[in-house]
Amino acid sequence: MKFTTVIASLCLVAAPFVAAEETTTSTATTTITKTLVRVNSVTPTPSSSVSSGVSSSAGSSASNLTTMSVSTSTPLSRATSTTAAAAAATSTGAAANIGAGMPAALAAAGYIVVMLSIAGLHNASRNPSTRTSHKTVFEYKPNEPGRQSQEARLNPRTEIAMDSEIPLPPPRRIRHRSPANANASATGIAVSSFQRARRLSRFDDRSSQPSSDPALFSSDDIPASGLENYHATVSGAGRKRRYRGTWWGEQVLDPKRKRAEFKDKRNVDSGVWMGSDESGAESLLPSEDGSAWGEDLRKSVLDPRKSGSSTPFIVEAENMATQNRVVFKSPEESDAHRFARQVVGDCLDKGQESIDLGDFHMETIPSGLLRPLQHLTKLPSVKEAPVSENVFTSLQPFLSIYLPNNSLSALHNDLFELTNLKVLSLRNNKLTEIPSTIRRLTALEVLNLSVNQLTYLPWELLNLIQQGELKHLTVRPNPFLRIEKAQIAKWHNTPTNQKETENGEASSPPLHFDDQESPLGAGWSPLHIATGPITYMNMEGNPMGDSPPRTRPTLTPSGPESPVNDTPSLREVALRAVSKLPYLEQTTDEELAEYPAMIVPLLRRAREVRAAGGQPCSVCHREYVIPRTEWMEWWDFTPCENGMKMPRCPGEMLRPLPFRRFGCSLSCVPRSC
Amino acid sequence: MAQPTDSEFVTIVSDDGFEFIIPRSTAYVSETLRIPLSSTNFPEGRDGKFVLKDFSGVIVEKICEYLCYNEKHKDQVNVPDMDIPPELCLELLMAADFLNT
Repeated sequence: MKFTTVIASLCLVAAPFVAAEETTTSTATTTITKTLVRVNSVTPTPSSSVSSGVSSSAGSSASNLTTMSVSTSTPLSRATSTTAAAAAATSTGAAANIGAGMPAALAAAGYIVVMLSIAGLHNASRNPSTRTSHKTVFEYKPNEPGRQSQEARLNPRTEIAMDSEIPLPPPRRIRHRSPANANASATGIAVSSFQRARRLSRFDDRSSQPSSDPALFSSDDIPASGLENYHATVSGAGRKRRYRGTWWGEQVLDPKRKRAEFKDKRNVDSGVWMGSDESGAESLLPSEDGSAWGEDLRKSVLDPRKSGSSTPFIVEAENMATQNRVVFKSPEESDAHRFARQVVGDCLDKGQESIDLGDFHMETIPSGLLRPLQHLTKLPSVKEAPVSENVFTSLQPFLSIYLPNNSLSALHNDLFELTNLKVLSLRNNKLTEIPSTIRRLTALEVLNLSVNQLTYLPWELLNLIQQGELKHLTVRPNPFLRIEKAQIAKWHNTPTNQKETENGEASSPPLHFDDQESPLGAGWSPLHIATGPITYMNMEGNPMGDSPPRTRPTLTPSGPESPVNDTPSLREVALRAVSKLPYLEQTTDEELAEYPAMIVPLLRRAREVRAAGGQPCSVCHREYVIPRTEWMEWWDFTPCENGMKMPRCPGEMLRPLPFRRFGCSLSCVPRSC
Repeated sequence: MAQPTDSEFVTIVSDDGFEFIIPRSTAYVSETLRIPLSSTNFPEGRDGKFVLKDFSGVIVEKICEYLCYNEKHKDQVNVPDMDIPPELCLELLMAADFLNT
């Protein structure tokens, strides 16, 4: 029955070029389009005799059409059209020879199929000007001189449509196939190259399911094409019924592979707005096969053999995404860090104010681990209906972080961002130094630094004791500098008989608390016992003169040979400007290495200072980058140690601890010196 | 012949030909400037003119500003900060290294 249809339509093919009636022409050409498209897909199938016969006859009958498309004279398509014309000419001669599978005829048929299918596609625009241009094309047809009288009907718009070769958008699939538009072979589509035409003909394969216009023939094998089925098919699941594959049942392998391309082209403006386009076709587009779209895309992505134009990019993007995820997750993120993150996340979720990260064997605190704790909020404790007054408590957490029994050798700056931290335990780690940034933990009440490798403490810690809330400080045991062995420049707590003349080495240091001359409350407050010698440093932060480089305790200090100048050096001035640069923190070591070697260490130092949030001079409180002076101070704060809640007794043995202190300029030295 | 070394001012010349005339004492803040300018053995000392070959006029202007700033605040305790435009700070760092200030 289908063959009957084909042959019947092929018989009709002859009619249009004899009869001058336009409607017949267009409908017949539509049929040809449909038929020939099918023939095109037929070529690899076994039914070669039938298909070749069909195609050869199609070639003969379409030779007129070929000449027609030659007359469009669009430069890009000229080669194709000419080839097709030549092939069609040969096939015209062999037109009677139905049974023969002539390759030339096949080729011609193929070309014509291509062009006709483009024409079919192009009906999609339902563009009146396009239609007019089709007519025009027919009027140019040299084979029908009688029709040339209609050239007078050319309007300028048609000319434009022909000359400008606008690459019109591909058809909106099926629903636009209108028999009246079928012979649009001369429109801008002819522009496309052969390959593109072949690609587009896929759409035409699917275009055998019309959506809008009624089927022309009662024998048409598409039941859904009737107008009476229009709403029924559309309203089903928001998508239309559609065929994929050929009319004899062959399945198109990947009918929707070009979908992405289609989507790209969808936005190309045809230049003509049609109300029906907007209301009918466009509004259906999103819902048309939205569900299948993603699946289709994934399929095309996953199948490496299919090379859609958009596919390689997607594959690449997906690979990159996976890689990134892998990089982010696995390699250096140790188990300890993962557990720690879990614990912290857990505490954040439950509003627990005490974070226990002990015994995790962490060597570093991963960045970003502690930062979220700034926003930790306690959960309200109200659980049941009777609300007494004492359930109204502050939701401000009593934030405690316990990091004992790890292997920390350095502290992350995140830790010092937690300005409401109350309790911090760093017991049993491998810390050699407490950064001076600890001054920012102004709410700190309990600090445990015992069992570390500390030889001194930051002087800023003393401020936390004197001015802050720090009441319970545990620092022993640690390999602190012994005041008995250190060099002391000046004793401050000289109770009775010892004067400044002695160096602390000859006689026993005055390490007994003497209550007599101490002011009130001295039993509680930290007591300044002694001050070590000052190390002066040059403009690059290295010890000046003969003093040994950075060994503590420092020996004889070499004073500045020039008169003491409080003015910052040009280096320092420039570095302060550098440390305020907005992008300094993001600068990596590799980028820093590109700068001249002499300023790289300075820049690195400026970056550290920036990361620590600036460092004020301990004497003049101005921000600085490079310290110029450094010295040790021995302080005793026994009442604060270990949570002892009792003042010093007279005559009690003092146990001073070393605090390291920096000055920003050569004149920032201990005042009493 | 009057010795130019005795002049109260020295001239600092930038790479692109800008000349900055500053008091001799301010130039002596920098070791690199002081040694040639104070000796007659150097052409700089005879002419009283020092050419900073590696630095453009903008930088040399800032350098001279710093030299005067340093001289002005020599013995003061609370020194106000000098304003450095961020785009110049890296080059000034290089200049500071060269001038040893």
